[in-house]
Amino acid sequence: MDDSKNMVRDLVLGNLSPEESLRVLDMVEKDPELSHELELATSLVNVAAEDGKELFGESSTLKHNPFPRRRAFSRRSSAYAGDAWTYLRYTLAVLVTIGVLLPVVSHFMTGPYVALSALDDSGGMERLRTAGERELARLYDESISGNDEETIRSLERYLRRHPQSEVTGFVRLALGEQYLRSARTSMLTLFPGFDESKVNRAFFQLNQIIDSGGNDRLVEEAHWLRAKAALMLGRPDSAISDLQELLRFKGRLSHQAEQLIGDIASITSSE
Amino acid sequence: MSQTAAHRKTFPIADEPLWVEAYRRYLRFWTNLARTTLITKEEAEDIVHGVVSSLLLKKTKQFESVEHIRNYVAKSVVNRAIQLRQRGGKHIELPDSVDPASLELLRSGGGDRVSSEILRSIIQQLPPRDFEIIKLRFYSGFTFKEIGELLNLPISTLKSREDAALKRIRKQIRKKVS
Repeated sequence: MDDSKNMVRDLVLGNLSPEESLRVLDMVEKDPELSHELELATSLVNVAAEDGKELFGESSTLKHNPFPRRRAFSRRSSAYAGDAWTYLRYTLAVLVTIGVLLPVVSHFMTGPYVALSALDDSGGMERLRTAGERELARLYDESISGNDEETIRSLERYLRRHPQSEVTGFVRLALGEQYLRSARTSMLTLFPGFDESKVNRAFFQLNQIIDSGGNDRLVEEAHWLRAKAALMLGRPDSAISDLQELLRFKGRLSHQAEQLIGDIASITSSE
Repeated sequence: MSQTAAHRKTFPIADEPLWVEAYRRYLRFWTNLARTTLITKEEAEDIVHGVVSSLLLKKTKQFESVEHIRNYVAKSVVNRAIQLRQRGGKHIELPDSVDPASLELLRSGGGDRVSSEILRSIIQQLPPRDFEIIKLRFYSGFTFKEIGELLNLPISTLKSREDAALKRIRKQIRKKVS
């Protein structure tokens, strides 16, 4: 039992491998005594993290662990095992399947408004850079140097850490735009489609901006992006209602909004 | 706009007292678990928030107690961390869009300063040998092997010391709570 308790403490301290962690968690589920041990260890970790400096005092030698963490996870590679002929047959089968399925899938996935939903190179964040939000501009500059996923992660992290900051709305807009940019999926650049979950995440961020009704320019940009998001999902009516909001704003996007309403109408009438 | 509501996903914090308690108590534990796959702290936090967000939003799983949440999230976090590692750390499945302000509420919700205070005072009154082992293990984060190298003591001695220290703490907690 004592060994099990030691393992539970190591589990809480993150000293076990993932596989060992899962095994110990199974034991904790079955044994209330181990569950209590986990509770105590967790409380100690929390107290040490929150009040450790005051409680245990500064200790430059012991505050940072000088030992390299052991490799807790064995890296495994799953190499393809098979002879060359099997590999060739497998590859051909995949290519033929893709060739047959792609036109069918794209017919259902690609709506008529795909071309109109394209985001221009100088997006909303680029236009807002002149608005003096230097902190946001810095955050954005930092984040665009990486790939889409990394950009989204850093913006999500920022929002998580500063949910009520002065630039929260701007970060939401950046995040919404980034989700829309990364939502585009295309096979061989022929059949563009969109990752609906990403478009929905963009909707969530843009809705928050619009509902909060703060900075006019932010709300304007959010309506514009939400119209694009609606087009990505093949919902022209929703897009038009956002674009009409922009016309009411009579701001810098109203001309583009008017043009886009016209383009949508011409596609809708020809269908 | 008609579609706005359809795309807005929120969860009522006030209706989730178990989650508020679990999040406040176990966030560090879950993050430590995710980090066992040698990912960065930020990635570990992303994984924990991904798991918490999706469970809160989908509501496909009913939880009976804080401990139930603790164990379920812990296992999910480890599994996601393993998946991330197997993919070479290239992709973390992003959490569904839970309003970050809501997560912040979860973090700050509740309040267990009383029990923290009790634990603090107990630790402060521990004998020096017990205090040292608790400090090295729970504050500095050393393993027994590392402490053994630092203090030149056998691992079995250190384990006994930790057991004794925790026994003393548990006894004191019982005394103070009753």
